[in-house]
Amino acid sequence: MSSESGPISKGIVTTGSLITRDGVFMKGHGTFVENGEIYASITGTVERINKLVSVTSLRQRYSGEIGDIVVGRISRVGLKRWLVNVNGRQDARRKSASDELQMRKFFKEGDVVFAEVQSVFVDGALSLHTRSLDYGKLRNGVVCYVSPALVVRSRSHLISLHCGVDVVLGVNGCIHIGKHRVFSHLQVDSDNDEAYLKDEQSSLESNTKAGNSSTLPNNDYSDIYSDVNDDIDISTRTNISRVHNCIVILDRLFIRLNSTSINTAYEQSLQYFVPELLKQDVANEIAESRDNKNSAMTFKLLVNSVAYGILSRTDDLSAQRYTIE
Amino acid sequence: MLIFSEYLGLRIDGRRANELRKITCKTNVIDYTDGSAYFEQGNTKILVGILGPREAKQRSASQTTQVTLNVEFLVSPFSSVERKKRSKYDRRSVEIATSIKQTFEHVIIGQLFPRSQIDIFIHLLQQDGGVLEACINATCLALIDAGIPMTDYVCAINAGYVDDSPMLDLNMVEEASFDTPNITIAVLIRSGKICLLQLESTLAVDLLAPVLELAKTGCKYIHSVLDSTIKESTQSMINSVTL
Amino acid sequence: MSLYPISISETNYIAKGVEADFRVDGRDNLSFRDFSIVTGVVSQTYGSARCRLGSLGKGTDVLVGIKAEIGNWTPGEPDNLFGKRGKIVCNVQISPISSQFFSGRSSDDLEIELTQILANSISLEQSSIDLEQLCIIEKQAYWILYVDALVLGYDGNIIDTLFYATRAAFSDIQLPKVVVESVLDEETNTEHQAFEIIDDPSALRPFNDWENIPMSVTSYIIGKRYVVDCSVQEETISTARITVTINKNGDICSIHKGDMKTGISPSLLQNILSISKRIGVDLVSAQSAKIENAKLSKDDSEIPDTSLTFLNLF
Repeated sequence: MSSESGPISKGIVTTGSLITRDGVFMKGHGTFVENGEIYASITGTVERINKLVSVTSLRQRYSGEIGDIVVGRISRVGLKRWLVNVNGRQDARRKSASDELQMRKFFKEGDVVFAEVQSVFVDGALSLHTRSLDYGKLRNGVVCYVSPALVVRSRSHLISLHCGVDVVLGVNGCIHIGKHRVFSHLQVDSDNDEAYLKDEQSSLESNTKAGNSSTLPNNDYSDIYSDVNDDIDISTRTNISRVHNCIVILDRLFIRLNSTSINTAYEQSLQYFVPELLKQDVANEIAESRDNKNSAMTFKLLVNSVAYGILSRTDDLSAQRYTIE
Repeated sequence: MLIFSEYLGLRIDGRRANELRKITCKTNVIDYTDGSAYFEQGNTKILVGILGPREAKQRSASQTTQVTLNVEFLVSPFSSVERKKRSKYDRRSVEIATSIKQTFEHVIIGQLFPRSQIDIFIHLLQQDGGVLEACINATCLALIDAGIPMTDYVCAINAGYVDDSPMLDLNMVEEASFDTPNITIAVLIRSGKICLLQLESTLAVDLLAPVLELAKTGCKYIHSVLDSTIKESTQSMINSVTL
Repeated sequence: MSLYPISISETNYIAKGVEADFRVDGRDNLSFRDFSIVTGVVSQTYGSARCRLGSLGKGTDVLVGIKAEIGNWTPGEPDNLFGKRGKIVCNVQISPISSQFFSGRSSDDLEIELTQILANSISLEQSSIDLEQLCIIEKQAYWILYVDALVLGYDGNIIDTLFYATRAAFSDIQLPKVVVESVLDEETNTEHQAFEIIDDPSALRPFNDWENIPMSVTSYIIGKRYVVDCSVQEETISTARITVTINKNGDICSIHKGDMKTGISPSLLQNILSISKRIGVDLVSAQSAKIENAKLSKDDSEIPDTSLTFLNLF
């Protein structure tokens, strides 16, 4: 708890423990200042970027940052905005200046949306935009929820597996697994969308043809708002379920999700039928045989601990009571 | 009933005066919560689940500068010796819920989550004395597990005074014995300040100090148990993620 | 349960999967997820069990505790006219931590419905359970068993998990032994019977015939087909629910229909009954084997620390 060894504590700090006494540092996430000293407010690992000290936790609700790619569910349709449940501390907002009467024509309650965080309000509420042809409504598949800490912010949150399945990793831990579709690369020209999805703020940023804003979506775009699934053949369906089950396994083992981990899990799973995957012993084997040089042993331990709860089975159980001197 | 044998220096369950019951605890035990903890002190068993911070369900309940805490204390009908169904609106349940809410309200850094709500649900699975202390310890664990920013650990313990000697961590028999004053205190570990103190019987003023002193030492011990539980679970998470 | 929001395309995707007999997690329409059980979870009860339906440690999770009390017979008790039976009282509570979607009183209706279904199948006169073993002295005293269930995780198919856990808890029951003796009342010079509970941990008796407690199989209608052991999403899009309870001999003990959005045709019902019967018998025998195994391994080890069962993520 003390910082005698150095100016800043390293490794795991727990709630309320002193990180540094040195006044040159600035407090970041997960810290607070008392009498000029920086303490941890959550449990996690200390991270330092120049003078900024912060603590990152693996067990927190999602809190948004600008530019995050999220997958969420419409929870309410208002007059001028949609409320999106992103499993955060506040529901996110997706504003629109389009025809108020037609709000439900675009997004309805329950719809799964794929969007980017445009701004973060002081109270933690997010404002989202879908200003790219790749964003919008997700269909042709299923959603599953994982621990948000397992999805790391990176350049690519779209994983196209060669089995014809797309995985959209929302930074908020919401993951959509669906049939492959063609994404125009993500940093697309924003003004395509601007014609009918005119965000009050975004239209200021990118001064596009405001004149078009009153026109309704034409046929080219109606596809994004469609609720109708494409035809999904049984092999694609099997693959979607396989990837879904792999992600469930990875989440349960608390392994980060990225194209490598999903791909390896998928490869390993191929020797089993899809419904077998969620059985305990098979999941163990998949995790064990993961292509991970020396870590197979650790993996096995990990899986067993998930399976039988040996995490808790430490020596302190034999100690009957604690005595205070 | 003789609850303390002076000759042997032992209590009814064989403990010494300053001896705590066995503590077993674990975090992250319930699937669909943001944080959870199971806490066992002797035969008192508590399960706590945290949901949030999330959008306040009722607009009227949300505060513009602060997070709203909602604490519910739910007693399982099979938790007591005699089976009894208790509503969460029962007076005793509300009282415990309120104590816990007040204890944690100023420890949680609530300004970070205005207009949001944190729900704390506490299940009493089995009771054998020291319910409030166990609830506070379990809630503290669960809140840390949920990654909710707090300024300090809160650890609680009960203590009493029997036959001229202060005693720590009373069980149900000792609590029920009518001549035992019973104090529950919760301590902020870092600052050493007391943030909850409940005394439900008479105690001579000059006896309070030694009991408090003993209880504070007890809380420090509980802190060390909770802290190592948290460290262990965090370490195992870090290990698996970075594999 | 309509608390869980779902989009039109997901509804369609799930329904098509049911049509193709290939569901989201890869199961076919008539297969169950894995059950896991631990008995003896709460040491202060006369019998308890925690049961989880789901894969890899996530899923529907129910804790059942059974307490026993002595009841005094009063003449004219409707469900115990001759004073020869004991009683079973059921109560189901859904914890708000079982899902992100329950809050406040939103689960009250479901709690009442579940309590009713469970009570109808195990505590009524018509149930196939031997309630006479709970009688202590005829027309005088009997045991009341309080079956209290607590739902700790909700991922669909709560009813079947509830029955499964209840059966397991009954298998764990250890009632104290009661000695009945005649006492001579000196004033009136008449004899009457009195009983004494023996406070001896070695003199305990199990609940005989617990295997006769029915197991339920709940089918959900999705589109033109039906599915057993639904996930929450599948429950959301289903149009009707039928619970059939079956005992170990394959006799149908009760049928409940709920969550009505449409009616169902008699021929479909017939079909569901025969399938449920087959599945139910399988579940019962699989559970009995599981419980036997657990008991054997318990005997092997030293006295197991009951708290461990709660610490497990099983």
